[in-house]
Amino acid sequence: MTDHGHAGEGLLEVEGLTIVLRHRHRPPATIARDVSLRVNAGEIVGLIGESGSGKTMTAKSLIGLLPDRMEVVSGHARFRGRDLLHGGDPARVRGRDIALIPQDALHALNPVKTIGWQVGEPLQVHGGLRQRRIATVVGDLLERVHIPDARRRAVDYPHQFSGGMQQRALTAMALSMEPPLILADEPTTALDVTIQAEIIDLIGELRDATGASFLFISHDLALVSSFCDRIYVMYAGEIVESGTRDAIFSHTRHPYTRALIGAAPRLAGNPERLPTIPGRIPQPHEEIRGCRFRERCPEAGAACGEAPRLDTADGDHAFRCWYA
Amino acid sequence: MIRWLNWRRYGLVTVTLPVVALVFLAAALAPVIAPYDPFELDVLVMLQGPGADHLLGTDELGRDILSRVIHASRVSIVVGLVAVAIGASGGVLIGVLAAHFGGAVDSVLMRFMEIVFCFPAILLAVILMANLGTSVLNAMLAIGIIFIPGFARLTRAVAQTVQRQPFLEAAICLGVGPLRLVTREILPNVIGPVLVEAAVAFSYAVLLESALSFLGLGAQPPEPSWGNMINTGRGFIDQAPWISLAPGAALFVTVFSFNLLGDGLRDVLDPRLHD
Amino acid sequence: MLALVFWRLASFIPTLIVASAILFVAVNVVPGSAALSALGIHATPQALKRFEHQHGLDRPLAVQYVEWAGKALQGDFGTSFQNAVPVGPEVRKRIPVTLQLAGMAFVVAIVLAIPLGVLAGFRHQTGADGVVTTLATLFGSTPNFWLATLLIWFFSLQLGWLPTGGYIGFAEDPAGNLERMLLPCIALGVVSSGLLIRIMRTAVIEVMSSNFIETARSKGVGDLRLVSFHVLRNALIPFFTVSAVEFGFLVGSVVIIEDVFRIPGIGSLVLVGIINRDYPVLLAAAMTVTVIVLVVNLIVDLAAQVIDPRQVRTGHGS
Repeated sequence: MTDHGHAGEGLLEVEGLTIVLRHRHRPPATIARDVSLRVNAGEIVGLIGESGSGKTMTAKSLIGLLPDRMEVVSGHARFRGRDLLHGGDPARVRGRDIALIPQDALHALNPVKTIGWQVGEPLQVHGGLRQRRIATVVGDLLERVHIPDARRRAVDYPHQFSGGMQQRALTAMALSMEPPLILADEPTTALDVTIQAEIIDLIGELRDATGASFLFISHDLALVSSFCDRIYVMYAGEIVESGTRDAIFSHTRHPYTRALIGAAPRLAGNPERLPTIPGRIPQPHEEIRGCRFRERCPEAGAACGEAPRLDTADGDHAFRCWYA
Repeated sequence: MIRWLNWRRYGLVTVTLPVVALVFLAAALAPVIAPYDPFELDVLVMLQGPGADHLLGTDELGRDILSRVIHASRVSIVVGLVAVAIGASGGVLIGVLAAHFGGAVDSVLMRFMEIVFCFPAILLAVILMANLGTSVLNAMLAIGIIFIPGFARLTRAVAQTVQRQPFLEAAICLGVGPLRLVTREILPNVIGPVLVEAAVAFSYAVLLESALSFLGLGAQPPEPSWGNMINTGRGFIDQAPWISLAPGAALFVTVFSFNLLGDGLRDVLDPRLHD
Repeated sequence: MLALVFWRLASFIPTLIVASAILFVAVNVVPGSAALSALGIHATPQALKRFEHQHGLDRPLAVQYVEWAGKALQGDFGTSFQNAVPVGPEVRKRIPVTLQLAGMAFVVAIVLAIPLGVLAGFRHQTGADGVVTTLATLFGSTPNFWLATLLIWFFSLQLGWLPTGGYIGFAEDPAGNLERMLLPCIALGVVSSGLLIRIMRTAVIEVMSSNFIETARSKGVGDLRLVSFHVLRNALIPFFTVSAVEFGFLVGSVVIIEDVFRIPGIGSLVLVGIINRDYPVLLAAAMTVTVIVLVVNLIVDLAAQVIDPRQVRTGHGS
């Protein structure tokens, strides 16, 4: 590992990031609104929200991978103090400084290239390593993510790997340049529960071994509860609550976070209890006055007609609610 | 913004429709707009280059090329229309039958269509013409037969998707008659794709007819057709290239604009561009 | 993999039978016309009867087909009505000529189609895409016999660079062979590339929307590497499968192009058969063209499966 970022400052600092989707004959829709977040060196940070909350696009904007019609209209993102959004070629950052572990492992792998070739590709693109050396490094990487018989399996094609092993290979791929920051985009969603746990363990283990930071994107609050240091909860493009794991779980302030904790199937307690949140997440183009969660909120009151600001209570714990 | 979207969707059709209309108009009004009688020989002006008297020059028998090109459009248009009509009606019928009956009927019909589809079209047309005899009527028939598999495949695909829709499955369970099903539900859905296919097939029919005439198997001289004019011109290409050039250009423009029209219709009918 | 190849080969046999039957019927749809055209319209009814009996044309069509097919399988295509010469050797002599022409023309088409299709697909919905798509329609709309005529006029007659036609075997005179093949291949290839460009473009657009493209980008892969290592091979799989159909059209067009350039291949033999109403010749030539098309379809199908590792099962299964 290289240095762990500037002392006293986050490895990644995002401030007031706003992403819009340009539309041919409609006004632009806001995908993410005034998002601020920070990842410190060696930290695992959870970014949690339902699908459509803007969490994935927030992450992708950092490495310049927004889809065609989406763009960042305001805000800053700094990686080790360097501007990520304006100027500079994002292709140089990708894979080397910030790597991505994509979701949907099978489709995220090129079907006609071997696993080993794909895991080693960042080394080919960024580093001047010799072919033989790359093969060795790839073998090491695959061993590190616990792929059995790693060196021999490196010549396999993706379809010959199981879902869990594909996800491990993608993790190895992200690690190949030993980047200080890894964005993990729902890396466990397509997997069954036992394999999910294995991948989670692997990420924790890799953080300890390499000192890399992770921004872990998920819709599953219970899943991240076990290993994230800090958590940001996103709803309809906005951060609604953020804080340390302890603050989020033990001193929950926002009704949405409370609902998410309630909605998550828990290992302990009554497994039958699975209260879902009524209603649906508002679409990005919908014009909403006041709090964006009001429609679904069990605790909404008169004040909610006006949009709440993100308030900080004690130290690091922040939430966006009038009644919290 | 809205104007731009509409342009994106209707632009190609807007541009190509006038050209296509012009070709049809030329064919319909050929005797009126052609400056000369296309059969009139004039030994005094044989192989004359383009000029004030004869805008596109004259051929080896002194006939006016422009008049012949205009008249020749009639053969192309008629063959195109009739061949597409034969192909579309035959194909839609087979496609609907295959989709409706399914099972063995479907596999046999479609496997057969598949094999016919694999045949090089021009080869099949040439052989059919050799047998049916060289005439414009037979050219229509031969080309029309060739189009049947394409339309059949298309229709079957559309009909199958329509039939699988839940509301129709419900209707079938409630005992809606097959005829009603076809006329009310399947045909309206088939029309769009068939129209696109028809525009493209039309351009292909014009090409095939010209090819047959070029080989001497289609319209017979002195009846002018673009194909046989290009063929005649080959013999004089060194001294009088315009004899081949003019009908070839007419043929090319017609085929090109019909292909673009097909693309344009696809834009208009493509649901992905709707919103 | 082997089972797959086996089934593809097995399904080839019924296809061949149906295709040859269709051809046989197409050639023989009008009863009695063979004798009439062989002997002329002044032939006596007795002479016609005798001719038909002599060639077995008075028997049911199905019987004639089975007999013809049986002999054809052994390479015996009967004798020409015209000059009583066996048809088989004549056909075999012409096969390499047509194969060379069609093969080289297809290469021309592919060489145009792959880069242009990649450009249009990679820059989907940009100006470059519009230009390439229009160009593809333009190419595909050109009548190949007209293009051939123009090429001869310009390159052979105006510039005098290339011969106007004819054929010399490659073994005899390689330069002379290529000189004569160039224009016909361009005429055939450019027109065929019209559809192929579109096929490649569609294939590239499809691949570009795959998740693994974003994965590659997230690794810092640049455009050039993205196209050459991630897009191309994935797009070539559907491209080759679909382009086999276009190869069929191309082989069919050989009939016209061989006529224009006076190339003694199978295509011109079809025309000879038609002009002379020489049905054994016509049938043999047309059947050969059809078999070429079917075999190429088969080969392309198998090849597409070979370059797709998902079809190959080695060692550990998933």
